[in-house]
Amino acid sequence: MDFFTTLQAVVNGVLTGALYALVGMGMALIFGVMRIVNFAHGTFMMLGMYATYVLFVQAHVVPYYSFPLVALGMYGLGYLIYMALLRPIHGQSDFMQILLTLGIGLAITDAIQLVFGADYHQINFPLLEKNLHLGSHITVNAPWVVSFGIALVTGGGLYFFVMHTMSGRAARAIAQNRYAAPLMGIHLHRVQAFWFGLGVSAAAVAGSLLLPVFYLYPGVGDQFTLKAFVIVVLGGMESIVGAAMAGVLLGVVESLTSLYWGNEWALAVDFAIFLLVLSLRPSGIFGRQKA
Amino acid sequence: MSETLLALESVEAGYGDFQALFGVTLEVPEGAVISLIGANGAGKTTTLRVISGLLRPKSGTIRFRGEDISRVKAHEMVERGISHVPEGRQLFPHMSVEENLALGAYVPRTRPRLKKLIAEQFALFPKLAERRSQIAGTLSGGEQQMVAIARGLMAQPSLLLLDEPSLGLAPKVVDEVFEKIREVARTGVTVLIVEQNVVDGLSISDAGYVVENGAVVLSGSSKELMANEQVRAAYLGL
Repeated sequence: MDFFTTLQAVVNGVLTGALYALVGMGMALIFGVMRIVNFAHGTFMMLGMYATYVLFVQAHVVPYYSFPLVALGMYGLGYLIYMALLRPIHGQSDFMQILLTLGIGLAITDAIQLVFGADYHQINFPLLEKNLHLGSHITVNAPWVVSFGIALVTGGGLYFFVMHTMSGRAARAIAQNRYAAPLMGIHLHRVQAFWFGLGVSAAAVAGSLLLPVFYLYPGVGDQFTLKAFVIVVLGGMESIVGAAMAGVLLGVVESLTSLYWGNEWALAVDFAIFLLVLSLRPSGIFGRQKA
Repeated sequence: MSETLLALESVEAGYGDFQALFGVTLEVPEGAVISLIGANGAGKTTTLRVISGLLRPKSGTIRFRGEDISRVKAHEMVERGISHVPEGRQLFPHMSVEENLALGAYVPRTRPRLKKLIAEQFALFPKLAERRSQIAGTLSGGEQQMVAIARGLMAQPSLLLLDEPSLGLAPKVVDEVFEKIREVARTGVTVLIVEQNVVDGLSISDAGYVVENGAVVLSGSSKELMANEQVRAAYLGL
């Protein structure tokens, strides 16, 4: 295989990785602020895909226009789920949170299956046929470029929001010292609900962007929950920048694995990396090493 | 005597089955510096936690400007004008000095004046101005205490609760910190301070309360307490 084939795979990997990054950033946010490993994360992404699908089929709005609406709706849902379900188990064992988020994921997945059935769906619109050529050897499918751009802006916006606004500061304050945060006047649950909603929303946006280039079925989120978990661990658990980089890295590694070893190996390589990082550098590749 | 800013009446509180306060009654006049002194585990920190809403009292009342605040939550207390600088400083360790201060002005009352308030703290603590971009966790103990106090002042409190500001600091640094607290008090902020370092605590205070086994056993002006045989024997080692 020549250089350009490999380069093409890397480009494809970066484009996919940008969406992984968005999913991972959402999970890292949620974990960082409220120490909850959100095992329903992929489910929320799936829900975002279905919402985008319904808007496309019923109202003929393409995902690239409907995603802000989906993001807003999913933010609201995330906020409500936090207040109604997660808030009551605040401060209880991690095991409770794992069970609860797993349960939320299962319930939503089954509800979707009940409403939409277990069939696979795909959407089609003219942009999907367009390809862009970078030089004479590299070709990229137009929807991937658009989704990459949107993911970049969304991820960048999220980063700016976390680092440079009072709301982001409050979230980081809770992550760094949850005892001191209320002494600043920070309403723990309101801030956590807000950021949980935002994390869910990030996953849903990734879902919107993935819909044009992927199959849709009720269980589609499961693999993304696992991927998000791998990404967050690679990225150092609470670092959203780490998660973004780990997401892109995972995309590239998967793409190269598919090219050289075949598609069926991609997920196996994800977990091989995951196990290696957990055993050799538990703080993640991009995380800050804790003393 | 000026008006009473804070008054505790027969406050009882505890953690689960463990009762820490057995009826604490005390008064803090506006503009004063008041010390709570007593042995480890006497209930001084718990008293502050109850005042700032971190812990809900089981019975008794806490009045702030005459209003009962015993059911008000911690995050609402800041907006009302009570800042609690907790024991062990409790900074946000991975944030810069400036960001730590900014969080001090989180509440709506002070947020619009963020820049001006930070400038005020830097004027009061010039050392922090030099270290504004440094990550808080990498500061020395004395500097961290300064950040903790400055962060508390960012909310423009009328009552500042200080829990063991001298904890773990070298004697020279303790002098520096107490000098700053004196300066803060001169600006008109009422201060309620918990100190194991009884001499230093009383030296900057107008009056003090001695807490033992979760209740106030003695009170008086700082001079009276310093001269009191019991206090001298138990806390000053004289």
